Amino acid sequence: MKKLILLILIVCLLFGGKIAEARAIEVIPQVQIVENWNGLNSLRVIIGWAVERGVSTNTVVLLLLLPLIATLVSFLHYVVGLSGYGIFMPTMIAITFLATGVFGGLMLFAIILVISLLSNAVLKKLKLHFWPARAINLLMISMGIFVLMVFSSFVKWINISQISIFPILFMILLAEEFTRTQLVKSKDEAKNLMLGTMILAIVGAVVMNFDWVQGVVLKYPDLIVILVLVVNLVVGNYTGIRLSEIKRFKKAIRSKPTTR
Amino acid sequence: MFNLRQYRQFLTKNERNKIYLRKNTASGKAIADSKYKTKRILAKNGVGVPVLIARFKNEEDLNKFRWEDLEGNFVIKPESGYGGEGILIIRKRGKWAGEWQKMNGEKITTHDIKLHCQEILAGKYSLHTMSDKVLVEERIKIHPLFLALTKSGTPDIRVIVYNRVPVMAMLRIPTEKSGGKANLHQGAMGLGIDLATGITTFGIEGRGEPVYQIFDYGKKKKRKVNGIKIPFWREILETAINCQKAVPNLGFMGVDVVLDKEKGPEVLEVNARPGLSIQVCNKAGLRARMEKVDEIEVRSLDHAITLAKYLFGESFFEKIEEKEKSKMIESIETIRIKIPKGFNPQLNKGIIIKKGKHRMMEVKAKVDTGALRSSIDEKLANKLGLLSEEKVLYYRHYKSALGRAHERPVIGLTFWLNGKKIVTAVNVANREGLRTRFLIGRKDLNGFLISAKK
Repeated sequence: MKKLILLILIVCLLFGGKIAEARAIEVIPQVQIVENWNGLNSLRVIIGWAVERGVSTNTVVLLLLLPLIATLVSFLHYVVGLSGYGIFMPTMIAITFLATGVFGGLMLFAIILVISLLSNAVLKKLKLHFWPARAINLLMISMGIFVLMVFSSFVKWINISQISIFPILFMILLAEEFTRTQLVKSKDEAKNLMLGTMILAIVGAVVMNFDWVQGVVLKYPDLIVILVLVVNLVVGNYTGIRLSEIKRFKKAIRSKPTTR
Repeated sequence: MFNLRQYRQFLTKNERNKIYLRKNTASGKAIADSKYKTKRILAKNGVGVPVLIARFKNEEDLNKFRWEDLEGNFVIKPESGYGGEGILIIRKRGKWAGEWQKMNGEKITTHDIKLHCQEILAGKYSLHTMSDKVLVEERIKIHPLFLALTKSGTPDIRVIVYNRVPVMAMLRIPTEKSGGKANLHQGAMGLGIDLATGITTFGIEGRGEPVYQIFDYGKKKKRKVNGIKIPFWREILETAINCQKAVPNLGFMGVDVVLDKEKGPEVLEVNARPGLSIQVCNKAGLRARMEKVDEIEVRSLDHAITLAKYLFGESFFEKIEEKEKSKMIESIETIRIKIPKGFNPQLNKGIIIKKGKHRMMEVKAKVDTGALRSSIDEKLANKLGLLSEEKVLYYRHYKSALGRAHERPVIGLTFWLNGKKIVTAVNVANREGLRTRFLIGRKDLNGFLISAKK
């Protein structure tokens, strides 16, 4: 299982390398404005209007991609058994990766996580109430990121000085989720979920970054709607075994079937 | 090799969430989520629960409480805690006033305890950091059998009850890795339990690593994870069934039972979303079992336990029952007496039975509960080489039924009665002219039932 995860991670990183430098999605295939409305292509017509009126194509693509990525995450969770922190966290991190690039995003997250873990270790000794401790933790992260931004603008090594607040916010949320899970559940569980979230997010980011995916989303938005609905209705009714559970229950099978 | 059909017996996460958790309504879950509600409802229905000392709803309650009135032996826990977090166990008072001793001998002051309570109130240990309440309750005194299996924490027994029938059970043992918590996904150990006998079967650690041995701190050596007999097994099953009777809104319920040294089974909490690893340590599928009891209308406690016993009992259950039957003996039994090594008895070759490295001889024996020690005929003993110097343990004065005093040797002897090996000391007597040349006294009849039929 661990080997499999590692393999997926490596593959993702290889593909992810393509978007490692991406700062924002700048795509995008030209939107064809459809004149003939025949009922079936309503969504396409509306998108055409919206773009004509000045709505950013970028936003439209992201809006349509969001449910698609969420669908991917839910499919991987219920059928394959790959879980992260809920469904929104991996989706959000995927969008973040799209903005920062996979490497940049992972770096940013690693920094936030380290600061958070360090400050938690100190705060634990102070025995403060829970929320004040969180607030101080947030202060530490903010300061750390700020220092790093200033630093990176001088060094020009990794330029994170241009990153907007949202990727940072999402990463902070993820780090908080990690420490909380560690507290509430266990370290192993938190690590596994973190790994799962990262894999899901990277897979999502890679899928979103394919030019043809973006093209399809814009050209056939109706198809995306139907696809999302159908896949989720099927997955939503799936009560069978998850791929990861096959491995889990393999140990529970007796050599001779003696179950009565 | 890869046969998916084998997996059909297991309850998968998807199926649990979609089908079986629907049987747990919101009101049932609300009870399970609050330890206080659980405790009240269970106590009302006659299920044993740890005694509640105090409950703090806010800081005011906390400040009003007089800690100095307590003698020790109490536990502080969040009402809606999760995964065993935030539990503080106080063993006894410390040396000085305002000082207490934890289970590991560490000292803690009343101020620290109060701070812990404040953290609980602020919601540090509740699921969504919502403000919580504090429960102070009596400490469970762990049963010595379980105390020997772990260094920290309280082992408990998780019983899954479905449709008022116990369908699966496991013994959860906290480990160092789990930090004293009994939750499997935190690294605790889980031993599957046979529902019919209460004997452990297989063991796993964490999410499914198989374990075969466990360290026994009492005997200071390793022992197998299987074959541990849980005391009060029937009572534990009864307690679990009663829990579901008390909270019928949880149709699919995991009950966590602890064994108190003095009070027997007590319920710490009931679980509305029991985990699925229990299937791995029992090597059995929950789904197949639940489907079996789905349509059955359970009439009584006895009915439920009988169902569990006969539907889900392991195959060794019959063996154990059989064994118990085989312990029944008649008033005249044939026993096999061991012939000492290196001795060549003056007997026909045909009479001597060889079994493994032992040679033995079949002798008819009379069962006599009126006699304390067994006795053997002098001539027979001589023939078997049992009267040699090293075999005679000591001589004793012996008063026969007629009141005459004799001096008789007492010898060491090994014999098999109904397959059970008995090593014992035996009187040597003159039994010539009596019906049997061997008499089994009550000292060697321990564990046997004597049939009076013949």
